[in-house]
Amino acid sequence: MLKENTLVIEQAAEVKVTYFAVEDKVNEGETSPPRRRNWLKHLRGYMLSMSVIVGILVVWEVFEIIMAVPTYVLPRPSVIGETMVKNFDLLLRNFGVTALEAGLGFMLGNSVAILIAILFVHSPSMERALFPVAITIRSMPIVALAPLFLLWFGTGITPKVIIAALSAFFPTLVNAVRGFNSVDKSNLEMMYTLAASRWQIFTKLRWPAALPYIFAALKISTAACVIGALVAEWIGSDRGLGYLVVVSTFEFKIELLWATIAVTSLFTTLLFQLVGWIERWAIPWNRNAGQVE
Amino acid sequence: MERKPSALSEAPDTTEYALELTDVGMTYNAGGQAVNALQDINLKVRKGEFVTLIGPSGCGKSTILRLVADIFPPGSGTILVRGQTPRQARKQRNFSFMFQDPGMFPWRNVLNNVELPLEIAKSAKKVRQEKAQKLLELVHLQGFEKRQPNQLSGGMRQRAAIARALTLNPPLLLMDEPFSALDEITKGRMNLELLRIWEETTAAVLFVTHSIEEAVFLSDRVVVMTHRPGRIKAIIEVDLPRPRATDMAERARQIFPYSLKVREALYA
Ligand SMILES: Nc1ncnc2c1ncn2[C@@H]1O[C@H](COP(=O)(O)OP(=O)(O)OP(=O)(O)O)[C@@H](O)[C@H]1O
Ligand SMILES: [Mg+2]
Repeated sequence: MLKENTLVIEQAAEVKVTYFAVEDKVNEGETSPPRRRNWLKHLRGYMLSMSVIVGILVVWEVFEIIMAVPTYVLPRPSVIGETMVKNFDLLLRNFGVTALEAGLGFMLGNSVAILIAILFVHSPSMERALFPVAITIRSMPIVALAPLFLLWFGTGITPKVIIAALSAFFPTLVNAVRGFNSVDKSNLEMMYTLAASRWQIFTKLRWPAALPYIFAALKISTAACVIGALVAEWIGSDRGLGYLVVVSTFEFKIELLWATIAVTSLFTTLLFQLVGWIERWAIPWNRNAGQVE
Repeated sequence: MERKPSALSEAPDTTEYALELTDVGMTYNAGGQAVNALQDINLKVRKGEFVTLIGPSGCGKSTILRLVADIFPPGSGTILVRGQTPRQARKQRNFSFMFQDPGMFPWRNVLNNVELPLEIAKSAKKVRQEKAQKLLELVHLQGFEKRQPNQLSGGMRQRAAIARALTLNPPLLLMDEPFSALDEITKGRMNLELLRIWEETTAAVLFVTHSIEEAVFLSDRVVVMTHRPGRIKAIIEVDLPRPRATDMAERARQIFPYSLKVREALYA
């Protein structure tokens, strides 16, 4: 056996090897410090998207002037802007109503969704029992439900908040469950071998792992909540942006209709941005994770 | 062996073994079908001993570690970790488990990741930070405490994982292919590191690998297993002196005859 061994080593010694003089220095893994986030680059991103929007508005304006499109077909951006300024008080008042409904609905729908997701993750039998219910609720058309809610809860703010909440509920539930279950099996086993309690496993592992999923859902649900509130107002209200849509259509105030649409989408965009900012603050590690510079 | 086993014995030392497996068998139920994964496993790991399991893929190496770690109970036979059942040992945090994936939490910096086991054991912040700091020095990661895991190289992350595994001074370390995702050169370096670190502790190690060289270089004994159902086919004693050669070429020369024996046993 050892004879064989020596043989191999002697053979190896016959291989021609040329050594070069190099400094014997092992400096492993010394990376440069992480680069500071460049807010200028961020600003440039905003500028870019702003200029795209402005560009679209300019093209729109010019196109209509050239083609002489009548205002009732499609008002020019400048006309819409003018209407917004002229009706500032009216729009602001109704915006306040819708913002409150959508905001409360956002908080209610998402909190309930996250709480139920937590329940599902800790009790698979609960999930099996209740998930079909959630899907059933999801599959009911909100437009058809809205009148019923008005019937049950009156014409005040309550039915609007509930409808906005319902619109947010389902995507967040699905994504939160996915997020809580997104943890690696080996991480779960490690927590288990460390004799971690369920609470510790949740707070130290599942919750932070789910945050990127939850924030993705929250961003989606911003638009859903605004639309939910709008639909509810549309069906039965005497205030709010949805009400304004109905009235301006009815009275054939096309400029006001468009001004309302503009305010609504501005609001939705702002809400989306706000959640994005909170996300960036709440899960900084996610930002570093997939960064390619 | 110069290493004196068991200087830190909190639990009453009723046995000289860190781990005893007696007639252990395991049958999985995979979708109604019984998979006989392990059969007649008898193995005793002395305190402070380094034992490696090697064998073809699917022969039940990971299963043995999981049984010891109380992730599930054995189908038959008994397992004792320092005379305790796996459950007792887990509750008292008498072993730690290291996986192929370093499994650093990306939302924690390196220091906080290493502190995690002490945090779960509810020790004071000051205590655990000092301990984590000391361990990071041991694994040569001082200066990287505040980094996020994704800012480290694979080898550095695995060193951080070793530090985390040692945080609670466990008398037994279970390591499931911890270096198999690393490249050859980093793996060689990590083997040296692991031995250096291990020699600072009194822990016994049950290590799983697919690399014969790694098995021989690290171990006091190499356990060769058979195809499914996994059984112990041979045990090769590696009586090379410790500390083992740090020079890679010297090391290759020393481990050669043992590697040959392991290879013979594997393919016999
Ligand atoms: N949860 C499970 N359910 C059913 N069968 C399983 C389960 N886990 C493992 N097995 C089976 O048990 C056998 C042993 O698996 P194990 O993971 O212990 O092998 P291993 O030696 O670690 O393999 P590898 O070297 O590929 O990691 C395999 O045949 C596998 O298919
Ligand atoms: Mg395995």
